[in-house]
Parts: sequence; C-alpha cells; structure tokens
Amino acid sequence: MKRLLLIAISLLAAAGCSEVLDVSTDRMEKTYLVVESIITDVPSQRQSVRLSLSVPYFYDGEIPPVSGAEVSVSFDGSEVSFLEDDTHKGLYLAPEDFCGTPGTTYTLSVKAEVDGESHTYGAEAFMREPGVHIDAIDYAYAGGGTLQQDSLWTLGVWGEDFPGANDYLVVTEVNGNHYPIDHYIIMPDKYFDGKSVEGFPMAVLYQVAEMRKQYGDVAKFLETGDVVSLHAYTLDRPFYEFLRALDTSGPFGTIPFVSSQPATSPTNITGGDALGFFAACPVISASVTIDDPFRTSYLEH
Amino acid sequence: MRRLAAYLAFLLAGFCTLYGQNPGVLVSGYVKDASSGEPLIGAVVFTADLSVGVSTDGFGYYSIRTKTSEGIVKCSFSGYKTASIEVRGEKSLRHDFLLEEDLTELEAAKVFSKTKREEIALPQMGRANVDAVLVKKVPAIMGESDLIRVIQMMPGVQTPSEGSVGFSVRGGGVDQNLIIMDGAPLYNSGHFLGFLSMFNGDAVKNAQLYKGDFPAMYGGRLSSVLDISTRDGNNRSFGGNASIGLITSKLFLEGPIVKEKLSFMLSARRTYLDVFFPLFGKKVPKETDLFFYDINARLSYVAGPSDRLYFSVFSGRDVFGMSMEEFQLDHMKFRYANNTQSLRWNHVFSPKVSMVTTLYNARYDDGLSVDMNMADFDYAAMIREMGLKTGITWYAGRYNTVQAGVNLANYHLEPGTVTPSGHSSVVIGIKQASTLAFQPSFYLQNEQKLSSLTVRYGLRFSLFSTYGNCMQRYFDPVTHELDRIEPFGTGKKIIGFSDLEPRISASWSINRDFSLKASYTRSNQYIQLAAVSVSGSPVDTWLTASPNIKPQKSDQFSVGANALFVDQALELSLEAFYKRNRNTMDFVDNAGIVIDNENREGLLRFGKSWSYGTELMLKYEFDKINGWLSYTWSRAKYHIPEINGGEPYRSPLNHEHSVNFVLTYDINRRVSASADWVFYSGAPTTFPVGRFSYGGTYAPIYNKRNTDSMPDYHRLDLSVTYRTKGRASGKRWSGEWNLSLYNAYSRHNAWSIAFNYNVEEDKPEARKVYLFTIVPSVSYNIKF
Repeated sequence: MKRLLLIAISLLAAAGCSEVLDVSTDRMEKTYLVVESIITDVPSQRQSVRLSLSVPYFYDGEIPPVSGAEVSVSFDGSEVSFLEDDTHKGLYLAPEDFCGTPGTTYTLSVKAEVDGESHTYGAEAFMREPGVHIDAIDYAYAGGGTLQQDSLWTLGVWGEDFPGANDYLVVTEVNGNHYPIDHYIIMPDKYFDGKSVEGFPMAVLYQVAEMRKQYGDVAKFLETGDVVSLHAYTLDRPFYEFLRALDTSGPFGTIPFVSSQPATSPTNITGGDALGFFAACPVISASVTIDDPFRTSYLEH
Repeated sequence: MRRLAAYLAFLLAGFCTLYGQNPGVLVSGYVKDASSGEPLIGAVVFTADLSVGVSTDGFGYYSIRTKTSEGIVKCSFSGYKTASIEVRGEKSLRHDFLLEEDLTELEAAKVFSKTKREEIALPQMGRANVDAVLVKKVPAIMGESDLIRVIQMMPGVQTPSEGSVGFSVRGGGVDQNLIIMDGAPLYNSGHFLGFLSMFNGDAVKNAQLYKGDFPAMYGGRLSSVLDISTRDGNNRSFGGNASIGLITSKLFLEGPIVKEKLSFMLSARRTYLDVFFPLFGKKVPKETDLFFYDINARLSYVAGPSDRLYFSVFSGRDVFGMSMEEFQLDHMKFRYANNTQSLRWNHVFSPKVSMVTTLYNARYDDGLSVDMNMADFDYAAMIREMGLKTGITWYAGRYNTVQAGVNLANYHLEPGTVTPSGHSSVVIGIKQASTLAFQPSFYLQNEQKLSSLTVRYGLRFSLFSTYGNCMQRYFDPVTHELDRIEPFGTGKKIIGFSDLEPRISASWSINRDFSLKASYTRSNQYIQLAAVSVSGSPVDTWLTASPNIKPQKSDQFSVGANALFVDQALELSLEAFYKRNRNTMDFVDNAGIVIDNENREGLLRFGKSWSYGTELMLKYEFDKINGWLSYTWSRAKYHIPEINGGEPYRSPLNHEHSVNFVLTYDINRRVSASADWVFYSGAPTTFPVGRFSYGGTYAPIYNKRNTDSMPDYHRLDLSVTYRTKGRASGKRWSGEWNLSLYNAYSRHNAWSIAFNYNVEEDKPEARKVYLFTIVPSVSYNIKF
C-alpha cells in the first residue's frame, strides 16, 4: 500500500520539474559503527559479521570498512571468534563448522576503533523456532508486463504457518545468486497466521528491461533448467521493525501527502554510536527447477 | 470547581443586567438585495446618531432597539446604497430593508463588507470575513478563483505545501479546522489532491474564518472554524452565468420557482482535461482517469414573514487513476467524495427572538483500487456525521444579545476495508473495526455592551462517547503493544469524555477609531486525522478519541489593537496570541503508512504543544484601490517525551515569517487589475546528514526532528479582468475575460526535496522538486 501511494505521488512529483539543490553537508556530528549480521541455522552458510562506518550524506567515495576489530559471538557458555577475511576488509567470518540453533540467545561483542577511539559494542539476539514449514514452492509466469520485455513470476508456497505472530524476510535466489531486484521482501503473517497455505505468493521475481541494463545478466529472464530458491527467515519483532524502517526511510525524501516524519532506522547495537542490526534467524528453504518459464499456473502439490 | 463557580456567577451577573433598560423602538427584519431578494449577511443596521448598531446574522436577520422613540434607522452594506426608515414612537416595527446596488460606485469596488467602526468595536478577535467579491478579485491559479487561496493569505494562516488547499492556523494541524458549508461539515476540502478547493466561487456567498476566539456556538476543533454560506438564489428573476476556463467549465443558474416564495440555486463545475486525453495518443497512458466535479444546489423557501426554510446539497467527487506499466501496475485509481445535505429552518418567534435549526448529514468516502497481476484489491474508508443543531438568539435589549443552543452529532467511521478484487487475486481481505460515537454539546453566551466596553462571554459544555457494536483494541500505555481486544455489544458505551469550555472576549473602544481587544478560548477536539504526512492526503482516515486517545485540548489567549485612519480607508490591526495544547499526538518514528494497520493507535505518542506569535494587518479601501498587507511572526513547538529523544521540536506546519500583499485596482468601469505577493520562510523539515550501508542498499541517518528548513517561498500573481459592455448597454447578457499569471516571475519554489542516489554519476544528491513555473491562464465568463 505504501509503495503504491509513493508511486502515485512520485509520478505527480515527476509531472513537476526538479533541479539539484545544494544542501549543507558538514552537519554530521559523529561517525557510527555499522553492524550487519544475521546468524542463521543453515550449516552450509558461513556465518559472518560485516563492520563498516557511516559517512556524510554526500560523501562520494566507497563506504569505509572497519578493519582490525575483535569480533566474537557467545552463547550457552561458549564463545566463537570471528576473524577478518583476507580478501574482504571489514568482513569477519566464523569457523566453518559454526551455525546457529533455534532457542538459543547469541551475544555479539565487537571491539573496534572508530574516530581514533576504541569502543566495545554489544548486541543480543534470540533465535526463534521457525514460524513456517514449507513443503514445496512453485512458480507461475504472470506475464505481467504490459511494458514490452518485462516479465513477472510469482513464487507460490505450499506449507503451514505456525500460530503466533511471525514475520518473515523472504530472500530469493536464481542458481545460487541473489536476485538483485527487490531480492528480499518483508512479510508479516497477519494475512495467513496459523494457516495451511497452498500456493500463497510469498515472493515475486520480475525482470524489467531497464533494470537489466543496470544489473546485467543476474537479473536474467528465467530459462528452462534454472533453479529458483526461496529462503524464509523467521524474524523477531525488533529485527522486523528495523527492516521495515529501512524500507520506509527510502530515497523518496519528504513528499507532501505521503512522507512520514523522517527518522533513522532503529538499532540493537549498544556500547557507543552504532547503527545496523545483529539478528539470529532460523531459515526454511525450498527450491524449484524451471521446466517452462512461460507456464502460467502452478502444478498440483 | 471554585473557578467554574466564579465564572458561572459572572455569567449570571451579566444576564441580570438584561432588565431595566429603557425601551426605545424595537426594529427587526431582514436585509436583502432589492433585485434578487438575496439576504445580505453582515449588513449593518444603525441609528442615525450612531449610538446603536447591529449587523445581520447568517440569514440576513437583524433586531435593533433604538435609544429614543423617534428617529432614523439606517442600513448599509458595501456596494449598495444606504437605506433608511423613520421610527415614530411605535412599540416595535418589522421592516425588511431592500438595498439597491450602488451603480455610482464601480462594480464590486469594495472588498470588505462590514462597516469598519462596527467591526473594530466587536468583542471578536482573529476573524476574517471573506465574501464572493473578494474571492473573485484575487488572482487565481489556472484561472480558478478559490476561497481557500484567499483564506491562506490572511495573517496567521499557513499553507502546508505549494499548491495545497489545506491550511494550518496558528501552528495547528490541517485536521484542526472545522469547515462547515450551510451548516454541514466537510471532511476534506480539496480537489485534485488538494490543488483546488471544493468551494465553487459561483456558489459561495460568504465565509467567516475564526482563528481561535470561537463564539460558544462553535466547537469540536482546536485551530479554526471556517463557516461558509452559499447563495440563496434570486427569488425575483432567472439568471445565471457560464464560464470556460483552462481546466474547468462552470454553470450557475438561479431563479424563482414561485416568485418571492421559493427560489433555487444550482452551481456545477467539472474538469474536462480527460475529454482531450485521446488527442494526446500514447503520451497519456491508457485508462488514465483524471477528473473532479462538484455540485451545489439550494432551495430557499419563504414560508411566511417569520419562517424560512433552506435545503442545501453538496456533492463533490475526485478520481485520479492511471496505469503504470513500469511498476507492473495495470491500473490504480484513487477516489474520494464528499456528500452533504442540510435542511435549515430560520424562525422568528418575536422581534427579539429568532431560532435556527439545522438537520444535516455529511459523508466522506475515500478509496483506492489496484489492478496488479494477482494482487488486485480495493480499499475503502468512510466517515459519516449526522446531526441536529438548534440555536436561539435573544436580542434581549439594546445592549445584550444572548445565544443558547444544542448540537447533537453522531459519527460512524469505517476506518478501512481491503477487499480482494478479480477472481485471481491472492489478497486476503481485511475489515477494520468500525467506530460509532455521539457528541452532544450545549452552549450559552451573552454579548453585552457596557459603555465603551463590549464583552462576550459564554460557556460550552461538550460530551463525547464511543459505543458498540465493535471490537475495541486496547494498547499498553507504556509498551504501546496490543494488550487486548474487547467486544462491545450494540449501544454499549466504551468510553466517555466531557469538558466545560469557557469563552470570553472583550473590546474596549478608546474612541470610534481605536479599540483594544482581549480573548480567552478553551476548546476540545474529539476526532482527528490519522495522517503520517504533515499535509495530509485524501486517503488518510479519521480516528475518534478512544480508550487509547485522549481528546486534544487547547487554551488560547489573545490580545490586540485595531485602529482606523484616513477616514476609515486604512485599518490597522495587531494581534498577539499564545496557544497551549494538551494531549497533542504525533506518530512514532518510522510509523510508515497506516491506512491498513488496525494497530495504528499503538503508533501514536502523546504530549503537549504550544504556539505563539503576532499578526499585523493593514487593510486599505479606497475608491479604486483595495487590498491588504499582512505580516505574521509565529513559532509552534511540540513536546512529546517519546519522540525526538524527549526534546521539543518545531511544528512542520509553521512558517516563522510570512508576508501577504494583495492589491486590487479598478482602472475604469470595465477593466480591473489585481496582484498578490506571498512570502513565507521555509517550513521546518528533517534532512539526512549521513548514510550507512546495509544489505547492499543505503539507509539515511537523520538529524533531530525538524531542525532543518525548506527553502523560503515567494511568488507574485497578476490578473486583469475586462468586462464587455453587456447589460448597461441594453444587452441581455454581459461577458467577462480574465487573464492571470500565477507565479509571474517563475520562481522554482520547492514542493519537496528528494534525496536520491544518482546512478549515472554514482553519487547521492538532493533534488528540489517544484510544481510550477509561470502559469498563464485565461477564462471567459458569461452572465445572463
């Protein structure tokens, strides 16, 4: 709903004219440490913590990574150290055999230097039990596209949502690569709480000619033999609120009629000026192989 | 309680002075236009020695008691010849003044209708009187003269965003204005997403804006009351006019059905851009809908010398829809509609006592329908208010006018229903719980003249309760999480509120050309817009006071001075105000859009707000040159402990400095020109100061709330009107050409500031979006 309103009003804005405005850029009073980490229960996934710094809004260089930090995650009396990857500065990786377990509380500790001062940052995340069971997924070509060369597929889910408020982060991949356009969707379960779902469209893959120019072949037209995967991360409420705020505080600026009061996304990182989120989520995944990209209905499941 | 008892004692003491006044002659009746029979609102009736004067009410009725048993009583109204009647010792006299247009003056030369000495002596502050003549003289955007645009140029009134016809009064929200047309409330006054108002200039006769010093008969909103009257319709002969403008065509008809008994007025306009869409071929996407219409109709019936009945209908509808293929959106359509009906009965019991009873029904519907592959849905919301208002005016003597009345209002709100549409839609429907509420109020007021001091004091008692049948959600006041949902059966009370609202204002006439004024007003607001955006949108929904939302309360104090110079041609007024509000609400950070969120009350946070400022206005009214210059300095702040880290923050609707300059010049009998210049300092807003990367996208980092400001705004508009010879030369019709330039020096005023990542240049940027450069327009109006 929000996005539709934004689209409509943006079109109205587009009907007017625009020009670049010089806005003062020297007002950022502090630099924040930014933490990106989702501990999952997927054994094949290398658990990681990414550390970077915030930048002034109009800074036009690369986002600076935070190198040389001490990163560890403790749980149930154990502690795992995350070591910085040699090739990706600011990316700290857990030992390959570490992955999360539902029902466990994880505590993050980061000792890092920001603006010449050393701080110890922390955060806590509890991994819930998965809120959904997925039997199968299937795709259907929705055509979609009144605009030529555009295509849209819906990904339907067969399974069961468990009772209780569960919110999901849905990530899609094609042949193991994240789909770059809207590659994640945040979905509250209020529309199907505690119900069996048959063909519920939890995600869409769409391919727009304009976007393909930007993203190249990754935003590919689905072909026979491609493997499409769907990963449903069960979120706790604070992480859901963080992702929703991230989604809301998008690039539209303040538009009369639509924009709420702008605000920075919340965080659960403590111990200093920090942003981002440390989360722990169980992941339920399923895949489907494309047999006919133009099939317009789901098969029997 | 003790304070209240003292107040009531004061009220009673005032009424005790109603007796023992020397009887002169009681003269009462209506003041009407001699050619059309149209009652004249705000005409002044006074004794020739200027010792006593009154003005006509909203129905053109007056009642005056002279000091002596013999003498002359006069009646005057701008643009009309003064009429008079001689009294010769009668006990009472019923007389309807029929005023003839003053052809020695230029047509509609004077834009202010009240006699100024009368106005400055009134115990009324912060009121602007706007009549149809004034609205038509001020330059119009796209040729559409608009009442609200004139209101926005009054001191203390702010525009929320370029082009919007919402308005903020003294720092208040756009939902804190009570807008009434012929007695029925309107819940959205804007067409075209707010670029034009619902008020068709042909149909509107008069509008009164009260900016805080509310007479006791008004209540329910904190910031302002805009009371609009439409025309009765000529009860002597048929007439009308038609006009063609850039974006709308209009037709206005009026005339008698039974001569001098029953008359009608019908005014309609519609945009016709959509008719030409096929001519643009593929440039306009298929299935684009873009239109609005509105219809005002009124029947006026003179049932006898003491009874008049009025039936008014308003219907306005907007549709804005299009397909947006690049967003995979086959079709999307916004729609909203206002429909009101009111039946008013004006009865004169005796020359001293009159009554107005209004029965009304007002409904506002809004919705959104979306066709988007398998996610087709329709969203609809509705608010309906039905009510009965009765008010009695007792012209108790030469020095007292007592008013008392009852208002009963019933609300039915359907905050939002999502229904899947089309057989393949996977959207699951949601029906949010409806709200029913009842709001009775009672008032008593006396306006009393004590030598050079005139005092108006009154008390309003308002109650509000919500009741079933519904499911009431309760939110924890600390965590704001949903605590429980309780069912309430039909008619069962959920929660009730009440408050006494004292109102007092005084005017001290130092001499006939100089007065000092002061006022205090308490008001309550029980129903408000759940708008996350500061300027509001057509699909925002209304929320009532509830177990989670306490009624908003306001106390406003004003002081001021008025002075007349140069034989009343110049009027200078200065007002200072301080307003404090309790139970002010605002949405928590990152609330997002809430129209489909049944837990939206849990997103609200409460605190207080205050505003203060000074308003200076210089009106000039010479034979050929009219207009005003106004300057406002004001500040408005919110303090909501759970927002902005507990620090106070600026209201996004307040412009600290604002200047309005309006000039109309009648070059000769057939050509007139006008200009206006508007300046205001940029509204408080919040810009990002930094950004961070998460999940491969950038997220903004914001400063404290509303510490930045939009760029300053200024604009010049020009207009020329040329009248053809027409009736004066014996033709049955006359024509009028109007040429106007909106934003004459083409300033690129910011409508919004968008912070984007420029992919091509690989860097972030701020872009100012502006809606208008110079907008020329032409319209032709034919009057028959």
